[in-house]
Amino acid sequence: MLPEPFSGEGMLARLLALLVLAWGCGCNPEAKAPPAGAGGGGGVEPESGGVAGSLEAAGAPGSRTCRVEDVPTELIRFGVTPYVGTELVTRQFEPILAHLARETGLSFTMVMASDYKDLLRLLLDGRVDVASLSPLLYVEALEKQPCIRLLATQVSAGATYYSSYILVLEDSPFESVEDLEGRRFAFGSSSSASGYLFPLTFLLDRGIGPDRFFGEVVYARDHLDALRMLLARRVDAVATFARVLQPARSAGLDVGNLRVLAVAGRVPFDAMVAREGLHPETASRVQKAILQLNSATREGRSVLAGVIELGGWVVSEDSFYEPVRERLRKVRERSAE
Amino acid sequence: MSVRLRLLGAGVGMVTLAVVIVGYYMTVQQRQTFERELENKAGVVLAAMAVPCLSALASNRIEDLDLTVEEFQRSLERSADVEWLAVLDARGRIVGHTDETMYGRMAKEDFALRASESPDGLVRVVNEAGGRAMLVSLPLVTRINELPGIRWGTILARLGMHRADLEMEANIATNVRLLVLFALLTALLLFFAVERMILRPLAELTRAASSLGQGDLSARTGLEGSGEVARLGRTFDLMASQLEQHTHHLERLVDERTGELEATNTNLRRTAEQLTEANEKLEELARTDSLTGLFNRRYLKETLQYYFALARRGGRPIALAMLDVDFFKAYNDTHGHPAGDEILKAVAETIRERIRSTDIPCRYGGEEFAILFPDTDAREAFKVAEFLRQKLEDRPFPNEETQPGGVLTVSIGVAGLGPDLRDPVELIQRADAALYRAKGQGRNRTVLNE
Repeated sequence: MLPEPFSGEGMLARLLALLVLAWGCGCNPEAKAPPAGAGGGGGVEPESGGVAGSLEAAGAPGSRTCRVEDVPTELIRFGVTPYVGTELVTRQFEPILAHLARETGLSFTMVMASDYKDLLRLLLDGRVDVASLSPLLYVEALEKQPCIRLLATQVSAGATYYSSYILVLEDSPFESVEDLEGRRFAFGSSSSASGYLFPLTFLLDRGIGPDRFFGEVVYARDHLDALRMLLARRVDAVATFARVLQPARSAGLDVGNLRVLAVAGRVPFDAMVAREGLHPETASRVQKAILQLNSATREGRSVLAGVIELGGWVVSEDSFYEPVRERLRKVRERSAE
Repeated sequence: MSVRLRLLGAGVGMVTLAVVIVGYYMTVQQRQTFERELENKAGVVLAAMAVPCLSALASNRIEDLDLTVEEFQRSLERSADVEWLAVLDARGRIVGHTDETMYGRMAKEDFALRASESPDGLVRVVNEAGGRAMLVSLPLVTRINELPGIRWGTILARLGMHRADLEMEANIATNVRLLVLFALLTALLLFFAVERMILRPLAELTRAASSLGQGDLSARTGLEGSGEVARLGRTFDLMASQLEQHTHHLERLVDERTGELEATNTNLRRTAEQLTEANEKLEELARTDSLTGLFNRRYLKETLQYYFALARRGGRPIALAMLDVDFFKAYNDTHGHPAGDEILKAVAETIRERIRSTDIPCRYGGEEFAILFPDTDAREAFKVAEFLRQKLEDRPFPNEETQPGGVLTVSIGVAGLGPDLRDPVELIQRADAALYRAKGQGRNRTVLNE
């Protein structure tokens, strides 16, 4: 018998998944989304009234009127989290902000939050204008402030999803998450969808309550930190996102000694949002520039040749993050019990 | 043309038509099926290629793109239909191709240009010198739901249809052969079925009808079964039976009528015979004296007229004798009329016995008789008359002793045809005159009027 991933059934399932993804990407954007711009460029008309230009609260449409500033802002404060460390994030976003400044004629400044929660606070307080939120943060932000406007969803390696992995060391004896009973387990971050929310619901769905099941549960500072803990054998398994491996390689970590124990789910990529009140024209200018920036063009490739494979952004809608919202609800229900 | 020939012709025609129609339909169907299959195959190939190509393009991993195309080409070598695979970037430049010389060029072919711009996958069948080929394309797009996304590029493939076409032609040829065989077998079976169920009974029916037409009323088809023709045959048999019965009935009627007619004819014949007989008797009666049975006076006159004319024209002799019973009135008065009649009968009998067969005896009236002698002159007649008178004188008669002389006698006057006689009446007058003279000379004698 072949190991599970290479058996006929596993291969078939993977092929089917690939096909579904491929055909999904091959649909007709022009025919089915009339308000949007050219499919190849991914541009969006300013004030088009479509999803991107909506002034209504995405989380609770029509429930309240959103505040809109009278004067367009010239300076855009761009909030980010050091999810793979301050340095890497800074290196990644600097060229992007420079490009956006060129394209929009606006000034951009990067605001590095101390963590996810900090970024959320900054956004809600109106101290950043545009931010790239992790999916979980996006859902939480919208719960608190429905007038936050979704500008785009990030694309990496051509995908709008990324995977949440439960990783163990290659030489460890574990063959399934059930084998981790009594072991030390690290979540990538308590504020991360891929590092916490998705792995947690994945475990809960299998009847595993982390607090009782594991010998010890650790919440890492960030994904890279979690990986370091695993490689240092301070924990037996970590929950993190798949693409952390590339910055880990860049940071000189021995990723060759890692093994995927489980895929905890497919997580929607980060959301680019504008704070409540940002002048719609400004927001649309930023949105348009963001949507036009992708690795399909030479210029885009040079701008996005950052640390993490970032392919660009596509027009999005709030429902895309429903899977995150659903899991969050599930976790909260359990906590309430 | 016989029904069989026509049936055979129609069968062959229908088989040909069916083969042509079904063959054409099958060709079209097969072609569509093959094209659909090829399209599906191409779709699967492109879909499988789409993910790694999209990922490589989006991540700008051109080294992955190159390998992806090559690996696909290698894995598809067994199904030689794929002639080439190509990956275009968002601008339409060839960034991956199974033909290494194609790298880096801008796609110029019409299909590639259209595919680069089309938001949907395209399929086109082209017919070139090398045979038919199918061009397919699939856009590489990242998007959320139905919203506009990022177009990374396009993948293209060209699949040769030569092998599929050959296979299809072979399939069609096999199918057409099977079809022809099947159609022929069906036609043959149908023909035999029709032959057995319709034509043979029809021939039987024709034979029976022909026999019946020629008068053989016993002709029957003898067909059995429940088919239409068998029913027709039975109807024919029933009709023939009724015809036969009817004809027999008619024949009986004719026989009866013929018998009746024959009986009527016999009766009529018999009646006619009786009538003839009666006529003859009447005629006999008309020329015969009822008492004596000799010819009567009317007949004498007719006969005399005839012989007189004959004698005049031929110069032949003719004579007449008039005979009268002497003292007959006295006898009558003495013995009564019935006795007188008996005398007259006896005289007549003697006359009939004693004259020649050619002589014609008549009762002229009362007790007077006349005898016509054809072909006899007066002298010869006189001799006969005289001989007769003597025989009468010699013959005994009842009660003749009461007559004068004690014997019953007769007087006879004879006259012959002289050149001076102008008509038969004169001959009678002359014989009568002679008789008168015989009476005057004493009776019981014969006098010749010369």
